Formats: sequence, structure tokens, C-alpha cells
Amino acid sequence: MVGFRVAALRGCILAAAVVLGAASGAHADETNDKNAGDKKAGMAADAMRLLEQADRRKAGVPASSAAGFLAPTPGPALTDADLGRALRAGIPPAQGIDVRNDAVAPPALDPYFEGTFKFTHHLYVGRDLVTYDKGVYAVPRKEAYVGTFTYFAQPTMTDVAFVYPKGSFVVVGKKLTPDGTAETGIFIAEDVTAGIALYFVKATPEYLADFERRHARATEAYRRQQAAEAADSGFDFGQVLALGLGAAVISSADLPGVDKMQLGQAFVSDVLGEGEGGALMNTLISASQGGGGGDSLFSGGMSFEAPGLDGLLGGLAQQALGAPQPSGAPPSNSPPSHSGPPAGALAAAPAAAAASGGSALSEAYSFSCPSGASYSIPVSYRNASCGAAMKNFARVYSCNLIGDFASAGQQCKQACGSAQCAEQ
Amino acid sequence: MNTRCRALLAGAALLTVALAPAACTSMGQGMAESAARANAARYAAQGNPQFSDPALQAIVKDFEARYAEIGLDAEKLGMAQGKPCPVTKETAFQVLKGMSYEQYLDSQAEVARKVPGYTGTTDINAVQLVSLAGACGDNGPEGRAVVVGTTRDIIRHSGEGYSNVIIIDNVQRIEGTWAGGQRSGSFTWIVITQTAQFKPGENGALEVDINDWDYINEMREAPTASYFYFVADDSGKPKYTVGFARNPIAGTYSTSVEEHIDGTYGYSRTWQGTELRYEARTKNGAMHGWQIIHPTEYDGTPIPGQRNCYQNGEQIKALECPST
Repeated sequence: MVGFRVAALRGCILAAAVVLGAASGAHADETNDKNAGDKKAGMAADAMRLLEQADRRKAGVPASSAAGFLAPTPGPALTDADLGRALRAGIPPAQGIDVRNDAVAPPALDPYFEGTFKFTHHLYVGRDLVTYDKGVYAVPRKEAYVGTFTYFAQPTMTDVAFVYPKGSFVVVGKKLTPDGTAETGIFIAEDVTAGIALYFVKATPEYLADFERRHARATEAYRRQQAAEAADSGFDFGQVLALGLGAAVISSADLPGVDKMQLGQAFVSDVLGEGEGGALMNTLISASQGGGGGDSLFSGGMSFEAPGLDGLLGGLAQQALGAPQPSGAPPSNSPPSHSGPPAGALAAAPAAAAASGGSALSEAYSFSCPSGASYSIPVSYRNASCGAAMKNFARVYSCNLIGDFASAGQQCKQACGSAQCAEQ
Repeated sequence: MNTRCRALLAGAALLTVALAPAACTSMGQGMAESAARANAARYAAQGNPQFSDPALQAIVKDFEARYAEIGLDAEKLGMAQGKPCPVTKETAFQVLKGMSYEQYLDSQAEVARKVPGYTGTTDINAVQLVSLAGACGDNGPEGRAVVVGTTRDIIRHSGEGYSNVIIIDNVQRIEGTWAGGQRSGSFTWIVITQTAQFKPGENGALEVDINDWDYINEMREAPTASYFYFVADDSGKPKYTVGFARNPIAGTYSTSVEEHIDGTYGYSRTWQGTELRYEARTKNGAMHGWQIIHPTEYDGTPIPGQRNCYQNGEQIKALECPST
């Protein structure tokens, strides 16, 4: 309080000094002020003329493909009343559009989500929210994220008049840009406020796993603090923690099989190998170069009102159908091949002897899935039993054998001390 | 309310937009102004960062000597003492901006198409070029030379219910070497910028935008001086780019150093006063590796640091972030 008064006094003294200073020189400056005013009026007139010329020049520039990319923001959008009705009825809204506010964009270019919705319990505000499920998050003229969305509630101020729930979105799917590029991957927008524009950033599997661990710890601490029963959030954090977030989110994504396999394989490579997340990056690059497609993006054959999106997705599907499949024995950290050794075959190629000092043994583990796809994944371990668990983990996740995820995680935990097979 | 005022004062760019001051009470304004002036004084008292690298330290000493002589006074750049260069306005523009007049207009039209509400242009009639030392012929300076010139840029931001026009007058001095109309090797560039802000009046004509809060007007009118040193190695390849920006009223005391490690990699740091504020590594000119934003404080309030990973210019959420 004292600091407040002192600061206010300082401000008032400064303001008074400025006023007094201005008054003392008022007469002497009159002529100069008039000249300066005339000069500025001339500058302003010139500026108006030049800006009009610039406007004409801008209008003369041929429109690029970016100008119409998912623009303008379509309407009508779901209103707060619509969302409230859905929550009361206990039925998520059918496919629709949710427009978010971007303070620096005109309304016609505000970002929007179009797709299906679901309920997610927000632990910190103590109620369900309507969140995104499958669809597109479009930033007109710039980019779009198409895929399956997962919402993670985050600490939110609730002792205020208007509660704006905070959370993070994870998208597993594709990033589309006006130049026609489609990049398959995992994208995250953290610490976002309900209704405000989302800014997605590409994320590595390790980051997602770390994000999830932090999130689970915060959730657990909050629950303990509230001394409440575990909430029915519809998202079991303990289970996700055991499985590893990247794999869990990838496995639940509505992505074409090839894309999901590639992401899952990259996730496993990054977690089990000693790399720096390069496998996912390589897979993403490969996917985008190869069209990054597969069959149509959504299994339900969803149709969109977003301007031009149906055409974009159709083009991607066509491109994917015409793209050659990768073949041959891949180097480590490369996309999976579709020819290789029979299911479960182990083509071990030790790169380092596990001699004294506990140095790591690295090898390329090759196997085939029930689907017929073949993989070669680099694994690195010091302990043979942990190595076996790693290989099982790699096979289960790469083949997307969802029913075996839990047992693979348990095996890793027993053999390596970590549910993701990271040796402790 | 006061917090909002402080937040505004934390960034001079936001201040020029002048959207929110009307919402601040006079007491809040006084406190915010007081905090901003105290912040500026804090950095002013710190002086400049000093370096153990003799080359960088020599640049700091050179800047300190020049700033003591020229400071923020555009007239001291020597425009009035120069000998007019016998060049067209377009050639003078090329010398001063490093690109042709047409290229500049095209680039601004391209930006305007991408950024909603933005229009940018330049007034070719405001371009002047004089020579202080060395030869200056039809193609501009030739050989080792010192030139001084003026340019005027015009920017408009418009949106729902507002339109701001900013006229930016630049007086600049370039000391370098030219060959065949092109600048080459090391050079020094000093630019002193003065802005004036306008808005449409009732009849649609532009009129000077005077804010109710005097401190905002004072900041808008305060000149900014930027001193850049582009240092090349013996083969002419960039070695260091060092910049000093000073605007005491706005509290700008930034120093930036980019070391061009080789043809591919770079390392850049930015200080405010002597406080290291940002660090980033680059690869082929794009950020590559961790960008570190160091913690600081404003008016007694700690502002936490953060680090962001970039790979080939794209931000990525990652735990490991290689810079090679």
C-alpha cells in the first residue's frame, strides 16, 4: 500500500512537471507549432495519396492460392446456448462449426473448428466441456490441422465472475498449408483459453510423454488437494501414463492405417532407441514427400462446409493412392518397409557388444505385423531381459495391437523399470 | 486497471497503437508512467555489455564514442554538411535501402496481401543522398565512402473501427565500400528514426493523432537511434553483426550480437542494458536449437524465462533440441 502511494505521488509529480514545462514555453513555441502543424498537414496529404497508390498496387497483385485457403470463416457457428443445451441433454452436438477469436484477425479470417464434438470433464472447473473430437481446425489463409483432437484440462481460475476454462489440445493428424503440403504428425496447443485462437506447434513423442507426465502429476496433486474421488474424466491418466501418451493418442486417432502405423513406429523408435526423436521427424518428412495420405482421412467419410476443404482432402487421398509404397530394407529411423522377414522374426544385428562397463547394445529389430506390414526398429539396451521387453513393446505398438498395450507396458516396467522400456 | 496500464507500457509498439490508454485512470497512468521511467532509468544506468572478445569489445568502444558524439540527434549525422550525390531518387533509394524502389513496393504489396489491415509504402520524393567522404557518381558511392541520406516510410494499420497511419522519417549514415554500385565487405550503418502518428479526421483527411495521455505522445515523438556494425572477414564473408538500439524515453537500450560461426551456423544474443535477455542459434539464417529467453523483472514483478526449440526455423515442442 505504501509502495502504491509513493508510486502514485511520483507519477503525479512527473505529470505536473511535464505540464509546467509545457506551459512555460507556450508563447515562444506558437510560431514553431504552426509551422510544424503545416508541415505535418502536408505530410499527411502526401501519405494519403501514396497509400491510395499502394492500395491500387496491392489490388493489382494476382491473388495467390493462400487468399482463398479455407477462407472466409464459415457460419453459422455453434453458440454458447447451443453448447449449453447439448450439455443439459447429455448429447454432444452433431457436426458443426466453432469459431474462436483471434484479436488481430478480422472476423472473416477468425480461426474455426469444424467437425464432431465430445464431452470432456474439466477437473479444475468441475464440469463437462464440449470439446473437439474429429475434424479440422482452420486458420484461414495460413494452415489447417485435420485429425483427432484430445483435450487436457489445465488449472483455471474459478474464483472470478466469468470462468474461462484453460486447457491444451493435442491433434494427431495432418497439417495442411496453402502450397498443398500435407504433413502427418502430432501437434499441440498448450495453455489455451476457451474461445481464444489456438496456435499449434509440432511436438515430438518424448515431449508428449513428458507433457502427459506433468499433466498427470498436476492432476493427481489437484485431486489430493481436493480430497475427491478420481473423477470420471473419460480419460484415465494412470492408464495413459502406463502406456505412454504418444502411443495412446496415436492409437485413438482416426487416421488412415498407413499414417497411424508410421506414427506409431516412429514413436516406438524414438522411445526405445537412443536417438533424439529423429525417427518421427524422418517419418513425417517422408510422409509429406510421399503425399502423406492413405485412404480418406476420416473413416466416416465426413463432409465439410469449410471453403475448399473437401476438395483438399479429396486431392490428398488421390495423391496417396498414386504414391508408391516404400519398399526394401530400410535404414534405422526410416519408414517401415512392406516386405521383410516373417512375423516375429528377429534379425538382430548387434552394433556394440554388451561387454564390461554396461555399454549399450544396439540392434535393428525386424518383425512383421498381422496386417502384413514389416518393420525394422533400432533398439538399444544394456540388459537382455529389458531388450526382450523392448522388442515386444516395439512390435505391439508398431502393429497397433491395442489389446496388448497394457501387458507390453507391464513387461517393460518389470524388465527395465519403466513402462516405456527406458532402462533405469 | 493499473496492471493493464503497465502491460501497455511494457511494449512501445503497443503504445503506438494507443487502444487502451483511455481505460486507465489518471492515477493508474501516473503509476504506470512512473514504473516505465524507473525501468528505463535502470537500464540507462547499467551501460553497455562488455566482451572478452577483442573484436566485439572494439565495436562496443566505437559505439560508445559515436553515441557520445551523435546520440539521438539526426542533424549530427552530417546531412547538411554533405555534397549531393548526382544520382536519381531511385538510385539513392537503392543505396540507402539495399533494394530497388520497385522491389520495395512489391515486397510491401506482398506483405499487405498477407497481413489483414496492413498497407506499407515509401515516399520516393523524400529520398535524398549526400556524400561526406569518398567518391559518389551516377551509380552512387564507389570505393571507400561515407554517405548520408533520408527516406520516409508510411504504414497504415486498419481494422474494425480504427485506422492508424504512421510516417517514419529515417536519416541514415552508411560508411562502407562499394564496387559497381553494390556494397561489399564490412560497413557501419547508423539510422535515426522519428515517427509521427495520424488518424482519419471527421472529413476523412488525416490529422495528427494526439493521445489524451501525454506520456504516450512523448514516446511516439521520441527518436530511436540504431547503430549497426556489419563485420566481414578477410574473404568478405559476414563474421559479426552487432546492433545497438537506443530510445531512452521508451526504455530501449538493446544490444544484439550475431556471430556468424561459419557459412551455415550462427549464434545470436540480445541484451537489454547489460542483462542478457535472449539467446538463439541459427542454421542457414533460420533459428535452429534452443531459443532461451532469460528471466527479468518489471516494476518489481518477476517475469519468468522460457526456452523454445526451433529446427530449421520452425518451432517444435521437444525435450532435446540439437543445434547442429
